[in-house]
Amino acid sequence: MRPSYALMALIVAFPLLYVGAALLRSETLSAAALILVAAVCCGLLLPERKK
Amino acid sequence: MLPDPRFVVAVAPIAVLLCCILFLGWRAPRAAALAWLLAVAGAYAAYGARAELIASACAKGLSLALLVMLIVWAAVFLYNLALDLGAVSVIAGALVGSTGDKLLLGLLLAWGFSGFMQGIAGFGVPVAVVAPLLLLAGYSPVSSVAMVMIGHSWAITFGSMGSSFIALGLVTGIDAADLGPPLALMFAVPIVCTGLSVAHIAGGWSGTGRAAPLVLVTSLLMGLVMWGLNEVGAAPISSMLPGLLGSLILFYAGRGARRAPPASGSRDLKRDDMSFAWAFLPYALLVILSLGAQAPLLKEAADPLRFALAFPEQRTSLGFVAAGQEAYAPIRLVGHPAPLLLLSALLSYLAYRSRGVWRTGAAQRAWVVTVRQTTGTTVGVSLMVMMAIVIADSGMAERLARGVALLGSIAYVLAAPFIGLIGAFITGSNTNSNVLFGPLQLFSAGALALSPLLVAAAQTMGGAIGSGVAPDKALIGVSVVEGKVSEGEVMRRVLPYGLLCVLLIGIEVLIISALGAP
Repeated sequence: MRPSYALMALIVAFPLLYVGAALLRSETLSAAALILVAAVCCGLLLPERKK
Repeated sequence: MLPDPRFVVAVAPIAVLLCCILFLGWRAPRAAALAWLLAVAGAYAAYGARAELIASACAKGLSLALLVMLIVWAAVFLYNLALDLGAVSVIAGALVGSTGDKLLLGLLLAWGFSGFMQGIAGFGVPVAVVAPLLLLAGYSPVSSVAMVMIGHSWAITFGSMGSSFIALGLVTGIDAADLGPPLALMFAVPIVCTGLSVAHIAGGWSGTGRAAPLVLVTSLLMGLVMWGLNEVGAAPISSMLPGLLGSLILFYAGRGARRAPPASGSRDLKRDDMSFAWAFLPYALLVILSLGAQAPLLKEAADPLRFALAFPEQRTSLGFVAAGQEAYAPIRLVGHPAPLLLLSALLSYLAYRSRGVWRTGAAQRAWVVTVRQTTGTTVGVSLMVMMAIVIADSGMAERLARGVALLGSIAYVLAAPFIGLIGAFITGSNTNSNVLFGPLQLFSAGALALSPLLVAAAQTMGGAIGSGVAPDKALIGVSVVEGKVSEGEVMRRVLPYGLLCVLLIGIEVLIISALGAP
């Protein structure tokens, strides 16, 4: 995964993590946000496709 | 006897991060991704952290990363803007032609000017800018890269407009006003050590002997300025101004020597329609604005203009409590370096435009280069900070600290700067090292009844040297001297100096601890 895509996904994940954990205190929304970050991490672990 | 499984789980993310970068040669974002996954799995499975606690820790990590990366993005943008406009070339060209004394020129460029550059930009920029200048000054490729790697490392903690120092304060909860002044005083040792290291690489033992009095006097003055700036709360410019002062002292010290003829290639450094004063304008403005922002009335009036998130208290099923935060990692409009950097860029634009030296599209080009340079770093720092806060908030750091505390207080005090060095060496960043190991060092200080200020200072001083001599800086250096030397040769040359500096820092910390630190 390209770092620019990973950065965009983290920008989306930030409000989800905050709303889920701090504002709503929802386990489900928190878990969903964590799954998004985990997906980004899995993407970064895959070797980048050569152009 | 088998080790405690929870201790192993706590060690695993950090150990895996180190191994992936050091032995497998992974890039930081990739290694941080694996370490984050391990930290989250460990916190959930072995430490009783629920999704809500882990998500809260990750949101804290991202707000902390935002605070630090805003500084980095703005600092690198201002540098790239100055580079595009030719201002960096004019400043660098004036320095290369300033003296015929090769040893003094080496010190000026690799120790003074590189420290100034680190104060502004960091992230390998001093190595990229100064190593080619040292090559022009007549040093061998391996010496050029090694000199600037060790030479700029004293400026890393307060460099990049204080981002590493700010990150350390955030993750340890130590107030910058408490930590800054004593840390600046303790930095006298690394400042002297790195200066003498540069002199030794440049001129051997005879060069070291000749340069020692000047290095000692210059270090003393640089250390005093660093301390004074921290006393007035101007930590973000506490590397920039001492670096500038050191450059000026060495510049005037070398003026007596006959100037060397222009080296081949130095014509490329010139821009005929811009004087040194105009070239220096963006950084002069930054210094003036940074000092102006410290005015108490302005700070008080602008205090409500800030962005900060509140976090509720979280508790693991094992009973570990992560305290609630009313305003976590606040980003202040007046006081945060990023707005000052952008204001400097804007004022420079107006001044250059009125003088007719502005190049159309410079800001756009600088922005494109900045995005390319900093995107990977941003992802790596974000994941690493999230991992560090997950480790801290789930109780893993406390478990680690209890294990490390078994070393005993004397051994721990000596080891503390080496922990900082290892963190920075593998991640290439003092900021990452502080985030990764800052909470651990603080827990360990608590367990061993050591001064938290002293241990935090040891962490970041070791981290500064580790970041300076890290493999990624060698890689940058090798690439800018056009591959005339291998990364391994540079590392073999510079590492002994780095290790010696950190050992001396450990001894300094041990002596202060024995004398009864605050």
